Amino acid sequence: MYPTWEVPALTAGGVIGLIAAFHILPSHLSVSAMWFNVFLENRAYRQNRPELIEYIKKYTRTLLIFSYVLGSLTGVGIWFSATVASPRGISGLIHTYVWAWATEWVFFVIEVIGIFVYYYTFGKVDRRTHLRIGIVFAVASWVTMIIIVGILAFMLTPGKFNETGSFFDGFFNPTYFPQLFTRTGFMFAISATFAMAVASRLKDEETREEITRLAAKWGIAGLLVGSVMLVPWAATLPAATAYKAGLAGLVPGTVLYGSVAVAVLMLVYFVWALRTPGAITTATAVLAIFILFTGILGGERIREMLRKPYVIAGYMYSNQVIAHGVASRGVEPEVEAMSRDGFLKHVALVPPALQPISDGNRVAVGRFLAEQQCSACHALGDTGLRPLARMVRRLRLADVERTDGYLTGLGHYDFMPSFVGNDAERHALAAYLVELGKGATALAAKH
Amino acid sequence: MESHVNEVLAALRDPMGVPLYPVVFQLLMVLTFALHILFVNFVVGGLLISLWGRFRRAERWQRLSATTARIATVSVSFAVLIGVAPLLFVQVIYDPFWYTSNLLSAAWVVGFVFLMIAAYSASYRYYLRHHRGAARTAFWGLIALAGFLLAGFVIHALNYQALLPDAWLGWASTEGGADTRGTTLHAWQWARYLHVILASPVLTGLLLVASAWYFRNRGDRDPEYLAWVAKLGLHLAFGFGVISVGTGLWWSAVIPGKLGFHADPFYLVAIVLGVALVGYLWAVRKDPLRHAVPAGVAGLVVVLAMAAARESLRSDYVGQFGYSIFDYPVNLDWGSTALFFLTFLWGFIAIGYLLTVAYRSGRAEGEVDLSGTGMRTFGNLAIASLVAWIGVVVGLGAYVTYQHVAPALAAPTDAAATAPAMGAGPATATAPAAATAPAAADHPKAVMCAGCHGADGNSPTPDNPTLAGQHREYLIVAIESYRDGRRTHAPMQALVSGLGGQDVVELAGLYCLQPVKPVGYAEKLPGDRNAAETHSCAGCHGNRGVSSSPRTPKLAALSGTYLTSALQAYREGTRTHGLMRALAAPRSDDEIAHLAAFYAVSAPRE
Repeated sequence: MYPTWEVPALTAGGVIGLIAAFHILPSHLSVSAMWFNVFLENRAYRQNRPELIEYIKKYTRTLLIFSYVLGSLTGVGIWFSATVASPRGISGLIHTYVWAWATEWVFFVIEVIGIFVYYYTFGKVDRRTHLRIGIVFAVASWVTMIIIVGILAFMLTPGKFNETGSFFDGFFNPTYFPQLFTRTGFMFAISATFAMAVASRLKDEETREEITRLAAKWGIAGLLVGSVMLVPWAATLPAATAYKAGLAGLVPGTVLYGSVAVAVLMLVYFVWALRTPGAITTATAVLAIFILFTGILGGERIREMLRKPYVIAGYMYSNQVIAHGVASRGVEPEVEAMSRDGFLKHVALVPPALQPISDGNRVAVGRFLAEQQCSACHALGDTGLRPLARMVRRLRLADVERTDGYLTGLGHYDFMPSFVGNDAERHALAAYLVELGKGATALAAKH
Repeated sequence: MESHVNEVLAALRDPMGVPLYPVVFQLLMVLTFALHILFVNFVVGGLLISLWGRFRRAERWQRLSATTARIATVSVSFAVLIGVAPLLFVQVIYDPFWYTSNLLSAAWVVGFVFLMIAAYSASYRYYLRHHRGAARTAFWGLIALAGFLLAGFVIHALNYQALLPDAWLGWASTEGGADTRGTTLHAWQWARYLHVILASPVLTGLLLVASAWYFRNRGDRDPEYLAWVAKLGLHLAFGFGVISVGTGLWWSAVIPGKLGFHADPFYLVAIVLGVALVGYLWAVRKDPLRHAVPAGVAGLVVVLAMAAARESLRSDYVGQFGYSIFDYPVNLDWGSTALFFLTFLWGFIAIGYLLTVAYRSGRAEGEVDLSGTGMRTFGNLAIASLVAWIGVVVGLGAYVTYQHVAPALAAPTDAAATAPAMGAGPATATAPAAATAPAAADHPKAVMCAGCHGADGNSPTPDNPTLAGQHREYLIVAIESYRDGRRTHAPMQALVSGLGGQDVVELAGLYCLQPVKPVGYAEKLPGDRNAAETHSCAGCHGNRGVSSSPRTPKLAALSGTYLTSALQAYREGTRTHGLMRALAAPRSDDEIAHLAAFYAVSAPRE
């Protein structure tokens, strides 16, 4: 086990969550925007409409800056934040899917060269050549989605991977195709929302309304396709996971219904834009992007919740302990060995002050264990994501003996791994939790 | 101490192994790192030259300043893009080093991302304002440069910290425990950092020479200006080349002698080539345009040699702790290896097309007509190559998916049983209570249960739990715990001693299938979800008392009286279950009654 990074309130996992949810906007924009561009550029040439080309240039510049500054850097940001939030998780994925990422990278190269060539050759090459560049970009861009969805879907439904250890069995897993088509639908809703924001800056009213209406149509179609594809996606989820989708308060109602509400709201927005395109101002369009983002945040949160207690379903718990081995790759499960030898034996850098466990350092060891085993999902303080102190108080775990009993039975929850470690370590964690429940001040005094 | 570090490193290595021989990843890492650092140098060098030019009066300096601002900004995209590759490969073969170093400075790692976003945005602002001729553009250029220099420093520190595993424990510890804030950068080497940064004007200078050569035949470009750019580029390359030799020697002086790096052939070759490049630049300084291409190629070769030496140095550092990438467990995976290498080669069709268009369109003024047969075919081929790739891969995906789905389709009745259980243990599906469920009373031993639990498992009195509709596995668990004394209830213990293992399985299987019927007695309290505070129950017992785990009992529609007595038994410790005892212990009688009432009136159990 690697050292941990503690982020007050937000948790390190929350940092990935925010960066990853944000990344969806520029990345999905990048994958879909050029289809819209090529469609419009083709119309501009056929009908000889230079004003449309002016718009396409603007939209391309938005794409260039938004997707290739924020998009590529938040993409790298997911890796960096995953590195410090769940190093063993990202390492497990990389050691399985390194060639998938490398393959995706080839298409990134085509994308980045493509977007610059497209942007800088407006009026510098003949029209059909310019259109071809757009098509090369658009197709290559969709390929990056074809690839990354394999890894994302694997994390939720590894399919036959655990039996066979085969790359393609894990990659083309049960939720692969439904998720690919869901994202493909929703990406058009995202690029339509951006297209309308860019169009709102156009001075010429007629062009503005024409583009807004076109974008609204794409948006409606994308939203419908994406939503319909959620049905087969949900149907392919394993029973235990599907059950969790509606599980008592696990996915908070605000998140579940909020995401649905955003989808409905976006549909209303597109229909409104289709009927009265003149009414869409820049302010409205930017507000729509923000609303869309909250929906994405909700959707990503649900996807993450469905995966609990795993970070990689069927393989590794959220706290990075390997739950089930992959025999064909010689990977052993760790729960038993860690409970037998003591968890701390399996942690790389245990501070000297925490060894061996004694009356003097018990609470500090407990805190260290909480950082290792709980902090992936729980803030250790009073506030933030699923804060432990508040949970301890709500469950009224006020004495060490009972808290210890509680920890013994932890594995009974569907969404939480069991405590991993020996008796002395479990006592230490119990002692820490009891102190934590008493309040931050009591703990600070001891620390 | 050292052997301890060796153990730590071995334990951290990812158990999945690598899908191909480590040397391949190492080669790809060095190659892509060299390209990455080249573009990093263009970013820093471009901004340095641009800012310098911004403060010069001469018109040609203003022009060059605008061009280099654009070079720097576009180069950021490529530096990030190409940087992804060595970032991927370092995690494949040096994961223990890279991850630990990142964790120990985690806040900087995440900060790096935001720093890059800020610097890149500033760079765009600088470049776009520059082209519009706005005044006071230099401010944004300076912000961008400062941001990139700091971002580079962070990555330098992370890479350097990774080489010092014997210092990690000290960095990770405080007096009383662990330092988990990640707000400290622990180690860096100025010589190493400056050697890379001060090489920027060398490579950017060579890029200027090359661009002057590229535009030499374009009528709209002033030859005098191009000659000036080429000369400036060469002088920059030479001048900073001399400085780089100095920083390089400084760096090699601070590398510990015990590593044996100073006799390393990669190191010696890199030094010789570096010094040779500087000498060559001096020799051709009079006529840079004629030597533009060989000078550019020589620059590339030196960067590659440096990257190789850097990797050799890393293996010397980690070798001290018994780590070698060649010991990495290999789980050969030819399928995905082929996917990458074939895609890589295949991708050159599209990449080649894009670069050809870019190259040819830039060489002439105005609109270039590339609609001739050759370029048209090339373009269509590029598109076709991508579509064909999708066809092959998606086809493969459809085939794999079909292979997985086919068995389930062939045996539809088994579909529920074969549904992937996510490795979470036994399948969780419980057969629904069918109308045609066999009658429980037909079982020869059912009479032992029927008296208290009802002939069809629906208990006639609130004191005894209803068995109908309960999870089969849980019913078995319950009977087993009476048998081994974990649950104590004299009549039950006496009765189960008369049941064989086969009986238990059969009875549980029958009762779980019986439909739940409305109760014939009145519940005492109305169920109140809020008062009942069921959140901590729901985790195991499910939404409104219908649990998903087959070993955890469904509570919905059990009688309030029975649930009350069960909770009280947990509270008093007469039923033993660590978690249930911990949760029940602090509850008052009143709270227990409310909880019980909530589940008693909850909906049926399917």
